Amino acid sequence: MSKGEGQQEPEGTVRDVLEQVYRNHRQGLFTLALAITRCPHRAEDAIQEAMARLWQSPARPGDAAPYVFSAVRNAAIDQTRRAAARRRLESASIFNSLAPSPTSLAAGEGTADPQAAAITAEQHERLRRAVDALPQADRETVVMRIYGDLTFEQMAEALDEPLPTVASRYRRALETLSRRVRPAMEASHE
Amino acid sequence: MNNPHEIENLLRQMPLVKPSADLDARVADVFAAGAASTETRRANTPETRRANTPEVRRANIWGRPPTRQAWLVGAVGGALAAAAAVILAIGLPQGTPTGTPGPQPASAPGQVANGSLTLTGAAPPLPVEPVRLEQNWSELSYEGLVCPDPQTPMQTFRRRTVDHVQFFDPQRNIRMETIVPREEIIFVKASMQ
Repeated sequence: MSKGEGQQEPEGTVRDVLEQVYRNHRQGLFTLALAITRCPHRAEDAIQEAMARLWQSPARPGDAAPYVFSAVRNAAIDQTRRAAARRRLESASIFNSLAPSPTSLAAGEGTADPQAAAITAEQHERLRRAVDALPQADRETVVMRIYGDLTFEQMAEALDEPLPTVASRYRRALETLSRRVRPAMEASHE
Repeated sequence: MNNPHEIENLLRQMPLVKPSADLDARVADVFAAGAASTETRRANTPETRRANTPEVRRANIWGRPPTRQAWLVGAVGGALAAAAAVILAIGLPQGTPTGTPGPQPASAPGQVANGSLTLTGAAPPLPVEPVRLEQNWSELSYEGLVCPDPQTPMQTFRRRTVDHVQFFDPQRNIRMETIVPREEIIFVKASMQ
């Protein structure tokens, strides 16, 4: 992550603030949009649309990051609705499938311990499937926290929900992920 | 695997799909395109001042009008529509000076006298004829065969009519309305074949 957790964006013109938030949270914003749209192209469209909307709006005092995340989230939801109306929904993951293939692992390519690499690949695959299978609200919470580096306060503001709700949803999502990934994790500990 | 930090760490190690380099250019385009026009648009106009209220600011972000304002406009519009409907149903207020003929105060053409605009110098107002409106509604239904006398069976019909007459004389400000419902039973001798 390129930005310190909970750090507030500096005051300035709309352009300065937006540019700074975009620079600091580029990956987090994109991952959030991708988690909602499930399509990289629509995720980028959503970010562009959100930035255009924010650019049109007057400057807003206070922390800009939750505001930008909220705008990107709304634009992504709009994109998804439009795609659903055109029956063009996709199901791309937020994770790359760059994990080493079982054959390369078996051949010991690029790693000293093929068994450990296989377990890691198995963990990643399980986690990828588990995150993709999360309800959208839970997935958004995880993405905002882990990849957007937002605090719970910022997440609550971005989602326009009470802080305890957001925190408990995040905890529940982590528990779900832990349950689904547990076998691979336990194998790696043995 | 009950430690939440463990799964958080694992999530952080996951390889994420990266945005394309094109995204940066697109966002830069957004900023560049808006830079020239926005600064002049953000002058201290009434719209800008209005746009600084929290509700409108939020509405701008979400791209929809503020809900509370929309409800208020709807409520006021509904109230006005209801008031207009009641006024139309009751009719114009009786005895208003604007509708009664009489000596007009001397005034220049187009002057406002006694709160109403008098068009002196123009053609005299046309005489308003009394209006009579008559509506009739009728329904005939067959009610079967009756035999008061075994030799003369009768077919029975029931006819319902309503005569609705309205009379309005704007000059004398008279309004009359009569509603006369009628119902009659008609017997028609059935033919014996």
